[in-house]
Amino acid sequence: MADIFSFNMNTLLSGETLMTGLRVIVIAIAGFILLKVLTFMTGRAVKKRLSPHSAMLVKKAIFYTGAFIILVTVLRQLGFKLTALLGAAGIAGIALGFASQTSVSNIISGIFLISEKPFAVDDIIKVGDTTGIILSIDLLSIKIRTFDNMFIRIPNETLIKTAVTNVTRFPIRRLNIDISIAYKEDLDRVKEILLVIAKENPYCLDNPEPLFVIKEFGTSGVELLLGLWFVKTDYLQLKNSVMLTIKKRFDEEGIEIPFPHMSIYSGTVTKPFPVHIVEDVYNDVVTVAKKGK
Amino acid sequence: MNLWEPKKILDDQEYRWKIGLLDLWIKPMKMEWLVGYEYTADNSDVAVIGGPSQKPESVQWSRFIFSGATNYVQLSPVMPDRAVVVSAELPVKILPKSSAQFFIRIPVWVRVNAGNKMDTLLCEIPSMQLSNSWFGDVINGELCYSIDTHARYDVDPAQKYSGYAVCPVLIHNDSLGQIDFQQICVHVEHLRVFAGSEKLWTNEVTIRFFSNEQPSQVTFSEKKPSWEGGCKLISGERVPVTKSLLKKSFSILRYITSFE
Repeated sequence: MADIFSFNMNTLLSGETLMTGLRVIVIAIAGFILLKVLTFMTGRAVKKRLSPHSAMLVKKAIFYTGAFIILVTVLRQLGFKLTALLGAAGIAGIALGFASQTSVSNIISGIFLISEKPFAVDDIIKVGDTTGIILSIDLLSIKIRTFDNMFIRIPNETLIKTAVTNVTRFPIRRLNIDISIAYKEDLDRVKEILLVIAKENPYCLDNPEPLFVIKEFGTSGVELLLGLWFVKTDYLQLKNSVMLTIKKRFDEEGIEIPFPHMSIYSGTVTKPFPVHIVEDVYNDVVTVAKKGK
Repeated sequence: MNLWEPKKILDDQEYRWKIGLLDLWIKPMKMEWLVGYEYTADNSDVAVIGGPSQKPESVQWSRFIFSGATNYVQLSPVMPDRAVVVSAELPVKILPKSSAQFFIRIPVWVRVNAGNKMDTLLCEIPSMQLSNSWFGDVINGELCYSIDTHARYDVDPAQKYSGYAVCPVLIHNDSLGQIDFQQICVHVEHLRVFAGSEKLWTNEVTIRFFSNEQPSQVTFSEKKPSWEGGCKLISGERVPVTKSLLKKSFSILRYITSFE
């Protein structure tokens, strides 16, 4: 036992092995430092020319390629046969590929998203039922913060597959307000009042001009659309102030906002629904509708 | 006394200025000043210059704390902080190789300075509430103020000028076709304000129009306005400008809004 131990120690401490070990350590440390410096310098060089996401992608590509080269060099120094290793890596790669389909799909989707640039950090986007501000765009996913301060991670694959609305892409937007008014109202007067409300609102842009559209004659009233242009940051202020003013002005002017209702006629639209009092019991009036009268 | 000259005011007293539609109150105190304002419907052209007057309850004070007791205040008229869009009274057509002179009344902002050297800026208050407007297309335009005065061919003595500065705009049509426009965007942040004997003026703006596809060349004159005698510079430009700017200055008649 002592002989074996002394033999192994001797083999390990032989000059050649020590030199190999030293070489491996030097290559690994120097290679890693060089790689970090190269990544940092590249990051600085591309910072002004590329978007933050593209710069990050370039830096990561350089880092992982460099790390692979260092690993291969170290393995060769240690005496591994790379052909066998690469063959094994190929088989392992296939197995890994099947296992990590989603991750690879996310990475490829991330590359498409970065090159296509449908949104950027700080944009407000809407994906399905989720709306929030983009915190970061990474290779696998994007991170957003919702308005009620929740952190949400959305895989890049989801973003490629579904419709994404970039709410803040353009500097101005139009707020569409659906308004319903009773049939008895004068449409010209209502239009005039709505346009005055738009003109007096400080958050509503004068140009492009507010849009007034009579959409349809609905079941309960006339359906109108008021479209107001605003600077994208003023959304809440405009919506709250203009809705308040519309309700207030309509109340002042006696303009009726109808709730959903149904009118029942007994044959002739111009005549009221016939009601006939048949008896008075316990001082309560009991009414019964008599058909045909 | 001139509205824009320094004025001595006493501690713990309320003073009122009226400039156009703006009612402004200032109350100096030992270590702080209170400033309050409101807009009125009274569009009389008579300015009130710092007379003692009690502030109405409805007006809220803003508090400015600064070291160095002082009893001097100076109001200065400055141009708005971004461009203004002005409509012509009627759509204008300028024929090729022709020029047209317009005069535009632009509401000034009142800058409140305090200190013995008038070097402590307390605040800036628009002399009237300006609404926002967008100039250009919905993707590449710019945010401006919209003013309801019109570009006129002369300085109308019947109009009110308290709270306004008159901006002379000269338009040259150097294109081969006629200019057909209804709005002008004036980058007033590059304009200086001069006090004439009766009105406030800005330096002259010259717009040279080449074609619909090319931006116009905008030049801001270095000289005093010559339409009124004794003009004196009282405020510099907010944003210094190189000799000329290339800006898209005209809104060609077109229909921007559309129903989806």
